[in-house]
Amino acid sequence: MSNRLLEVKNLVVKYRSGKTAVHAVNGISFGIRKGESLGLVGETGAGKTTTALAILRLIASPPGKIEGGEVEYDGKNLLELPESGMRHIRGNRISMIFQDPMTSLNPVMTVGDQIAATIRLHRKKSRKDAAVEARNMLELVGIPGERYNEYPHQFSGGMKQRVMIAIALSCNPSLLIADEPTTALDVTIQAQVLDLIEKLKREFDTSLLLITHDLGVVAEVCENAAIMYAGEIVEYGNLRHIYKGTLHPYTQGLFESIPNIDEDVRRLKPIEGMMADPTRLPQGCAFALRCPYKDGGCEKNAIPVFEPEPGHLVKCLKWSEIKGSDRRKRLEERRGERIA
Amino acid sequence: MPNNPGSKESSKESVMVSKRNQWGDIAGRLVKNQAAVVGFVIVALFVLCALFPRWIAPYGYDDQDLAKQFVKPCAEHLFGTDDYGRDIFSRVVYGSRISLSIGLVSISFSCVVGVLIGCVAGYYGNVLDNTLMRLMDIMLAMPSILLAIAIVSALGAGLRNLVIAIGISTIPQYARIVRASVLSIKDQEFIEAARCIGASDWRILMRHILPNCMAPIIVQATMNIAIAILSAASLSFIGLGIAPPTPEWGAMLSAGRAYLRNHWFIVIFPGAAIMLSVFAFNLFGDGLRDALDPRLKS
Amino acid sequence: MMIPVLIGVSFAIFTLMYFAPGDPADIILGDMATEADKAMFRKEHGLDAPFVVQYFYYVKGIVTRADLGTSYVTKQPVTTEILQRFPATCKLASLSVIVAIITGVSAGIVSATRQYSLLDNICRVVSMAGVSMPNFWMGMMLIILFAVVLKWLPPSGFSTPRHWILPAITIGSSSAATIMRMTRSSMLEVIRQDYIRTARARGESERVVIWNHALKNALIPIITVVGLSFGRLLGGAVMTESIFSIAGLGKLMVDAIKVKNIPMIQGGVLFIAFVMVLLNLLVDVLYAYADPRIRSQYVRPKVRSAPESKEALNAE
Repeated sequence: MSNRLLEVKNLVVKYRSGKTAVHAVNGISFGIRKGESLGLVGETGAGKTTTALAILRLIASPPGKIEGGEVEYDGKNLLELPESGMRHIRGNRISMIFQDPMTSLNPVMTVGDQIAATIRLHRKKSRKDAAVEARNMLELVGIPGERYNEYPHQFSGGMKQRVMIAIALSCNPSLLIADEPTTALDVTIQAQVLDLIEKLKREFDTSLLLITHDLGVVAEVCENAAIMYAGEIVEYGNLRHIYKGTLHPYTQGLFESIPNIDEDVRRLKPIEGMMADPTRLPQGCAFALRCPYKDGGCEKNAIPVFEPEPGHLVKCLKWSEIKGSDRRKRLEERRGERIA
Repeated sequence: MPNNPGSKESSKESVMVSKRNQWGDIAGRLVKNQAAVVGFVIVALFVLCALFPRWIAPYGYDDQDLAKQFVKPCAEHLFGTDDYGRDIFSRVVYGSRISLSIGLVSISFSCVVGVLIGCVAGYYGNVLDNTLMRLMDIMLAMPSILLAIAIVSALGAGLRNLVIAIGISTIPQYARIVRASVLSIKDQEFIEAARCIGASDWRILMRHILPNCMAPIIVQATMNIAIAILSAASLSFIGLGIAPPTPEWGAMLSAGRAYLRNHWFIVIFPGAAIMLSVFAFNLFGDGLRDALDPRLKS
Repeated sequence: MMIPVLIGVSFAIFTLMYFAPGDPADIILGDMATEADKAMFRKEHGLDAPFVVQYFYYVKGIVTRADLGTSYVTKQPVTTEILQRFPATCKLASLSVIVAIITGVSAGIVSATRQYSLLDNICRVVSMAGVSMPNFWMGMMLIILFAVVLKWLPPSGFSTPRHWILPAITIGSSSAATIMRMTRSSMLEVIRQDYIRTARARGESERVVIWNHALKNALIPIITVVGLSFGRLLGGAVMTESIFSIAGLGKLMVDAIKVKNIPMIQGGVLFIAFVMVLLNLLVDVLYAYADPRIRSQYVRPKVRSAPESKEALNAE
């Protein structure tokens, strides 16, 4: 445990409106080691962003509330820290990059000032020194330093995301949370931004929590992956576990809905059905409604976590059945070459 | 909203999904809004006073009793009496008739004219649009109360001229709102469709465009009744409105000013009536706006 | 845009006054005047010329000599009288604007950051009441309370700062309410934006987030309302000045209206329209100051300047 930088334990987050409560995150646990990259994968509404915001305690309250669990960072439980202590963590030790760079920068401040403000906030530096450092950060993310005094509206989407990265890394944090950093960008820019994140992560020796719905991105950047469904982590493991030894039917479904160039398939195979209503989650497995393997046992009780091989966790009663199934073999063949 | 005969304009139907339901929803949202309900109740009380002052007021509005000058508020005279010994409560009740009718008439007048101008400007565009909207800009270049003052002082004091002045001074607001709505609606497909089946301009405006910009118009009209009541009181206060003994709230304040120091009740109650009625219309208008279109919140 | 509007206003007000019922000669000279006197009066004031000619001379006078005509009552040039009275009104309006901005913006921010709290509800009800209150009545109530009952402040006059308080509050209150409402809704919208979350994620304190990041972004609609309410304040001054016996532009106009002193009314309206047009111009300039997106529309060739620490950078 001691080498764990961040340890999330049984985190529960709910959004309340009137009498109904949306169960956004339902007791998830995971950890990130120093220097590790973890990919948090799931479809829209699975609770990925909520998890990230909960770590930084940025959930808008009301309506959101962290109802239980622990977020242990460097031996301290962040959920018990006073607000001032939390401010010292944010942007300094843990930074976050948001999904939409178009709206995430303050439109009435120059980009340079936004970087410099972060530096001045956490480091005792003169205005001048902070400006110099901010300029260096800009150049580090590939933006000419002369553009320091320009405003966000003068930048393209990819450039803005670079600025966001510069802000996030300006205080050399030990953990970077990237919430779908490339979703709002063009495909060509996506690769550039990902490369930049990866490069800087290595350079600064930063841990990374990468939130995405794109399994391809995870394969490129991360060592480990956690698959989220309806506010729970349903499968966790390293890339080999997840990509070659898939054990959860939801993860399987995710892979099947990725197009494959090698195969001549007429239609993609989507996962049937809709995600469980987060205001009325079932007692048993939340995926049971859409699961081809389910039987009576799946819907009765909460599903325990199994560990079929060391480091590979799965939340499914049927994992052994799945392990031997034809479907899994087909999937494995399909991806044989892709994950070496 | 008028129903469209026939199903020819099916695209329009899809734009205005199930109207009955929509109005039901609006009413539902309005009832849930406590502030709006309070506003509505107060407005209703004033309307009752305006409709049946004889039954509510214990005295006539001009029943003078010089033996009972400046009586303080008591059971017999709820709001006290004024310098002629007239019952202030009765005068306030009768005054609601004047104020509400000024509000209603002037607003209907400016609403019709303003909507017409806005429609024409927005629908025909070009030179007509430019001319009309510049005209509106000119009117907006003056504070509306000042415009009303200028008009009344030109036409002369009196109820009719007061209504005209207040009406004219609020026209530009409607014209602007309607023009903006028309501009945003007129290029939509259901208008194209209506044109394709050979509907005339007038018909398109009245049947297709106008119903779709009713929401902001209704809201503006409700709020403007409030403004009209205020303006009427202000004008009467500086002697440009209704002459005594007609119990107009602003005129009552103006007459009571001289006794401000010793007989506070003469000026408090008519003013409170103005405030309460304006307040109620504002509350109701606010609620109406939220209920009609949550996006309109400004 | 300024000049056509002013020409339009002058034409409108001139026409209105020209065709108004009642002959100024009758009103000013009274019943005792003979026909000859009236003819003299008309000739003296150029009232016997055709409409277009009169209007032409009126505009010509304004443009060439800043001459708004001669007051029927005092026989003084209207321009002189207006300029004599304007400082008081201007001071009053400025004071009220300051009162309105300070109370309106801070109440709006408090209201927005604690949406649906008790404080928010109180602010909203009070502001709604403020909008609904007739200015002149509010003035009277303040006089009753602070001057008659408590005897803290003088009821009339405008000579010392103590005299300024009641009129400024009276006129400022309704604008404060409008500004508060606009600030609240504008802040509520801004607070939900992503960049506010970004600022929090960087570790900014709540105070900096609200007053610096959020307020700066919410400023545009607030500026608009402040600009508009300055005009309303001038209108409000017309009502309020007579209550507090302040010798300002408003009182001048009310007095002129009572005796149908047409050049005075025309001149006053035109002057206020002129001030409003100037204010709108000022608001446009402020927009550009508040929002770099608008600024860059005006300043086409961008000046790309490096940070102020260029030398420091070279030294490295």
